[in-house]
Amino acid sequence: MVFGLADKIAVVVYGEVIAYDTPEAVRADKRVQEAYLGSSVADAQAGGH
Amino acid sequence: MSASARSEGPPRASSAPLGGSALHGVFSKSGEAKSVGAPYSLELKDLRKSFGKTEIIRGANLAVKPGEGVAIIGPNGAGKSTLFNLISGRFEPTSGDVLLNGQRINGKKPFEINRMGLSRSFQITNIFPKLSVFENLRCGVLWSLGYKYTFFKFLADLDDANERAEKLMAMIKLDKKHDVLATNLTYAEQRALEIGITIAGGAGVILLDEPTAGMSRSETSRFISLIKEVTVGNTLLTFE
Repeated sequence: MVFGLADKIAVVVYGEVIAYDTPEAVRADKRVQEAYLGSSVADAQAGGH
Repeated sequence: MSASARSEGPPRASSAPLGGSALHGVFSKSGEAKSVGAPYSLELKDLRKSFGKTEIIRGANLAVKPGEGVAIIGPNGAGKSTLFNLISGRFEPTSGDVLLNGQRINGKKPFEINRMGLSRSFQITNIFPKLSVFENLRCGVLWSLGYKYTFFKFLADLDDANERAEKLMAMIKLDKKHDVLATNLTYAEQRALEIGITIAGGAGVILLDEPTAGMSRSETSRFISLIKEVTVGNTLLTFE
């Protein structure tokens, strides 16, 4: 991936841009985590069940 | 890697122009079409695209500021390629708008969008394998200016095109390969040549489709620095 080139990352999921922000902010975005890892992982990381 | 990229601040817009603007001096074709002062280089507004009954792009919104570098990422099948094709004019949106420097470009042909200041990378097969590095770049320059059939205009501007091709060759660090046929370049050099052709027209907005696909790790990092260098001051979208 060319994150090295990016001031911002746009995450496309199911034909929508679900996040558009700096790489750090996108990495921390719960919806992005869900899209890539599944909701249970994101919940676990967020301290949920 | 991204952390260090961020700590440099917003580097793409503020650094000295090596890419687009430096080259605009030679030819101003794409510069003319650019509406200066638009708040965004590229905007997607509730963009939708269906193929048959299947909606692939479902209301995409994006607003990219001039000089920003944006990586478009997403899981396989998310619609990245479709977005790339919608922006570059290969597909027409079902609804919604694509704005380039504030001007609506949906429904326009790829070459028209190119003249308006957006350039996309082509697949590796779009370099001419039996032409030299220099000739490939000169073709890129001439093609971007629309000299396919206007032979007399072509002759008049050939010196400028040569000069610009030389400049591009130095920018992509292939000046030592001036007369080498494209087919005899390494894979990474061919990709660099492809970048050179993509930026040949001096477009302000550059779209790159998987720019580092197929490269080794060390090639990738070198190539990223190269892309950074040659697109400084430009708006850059990479599709991963």
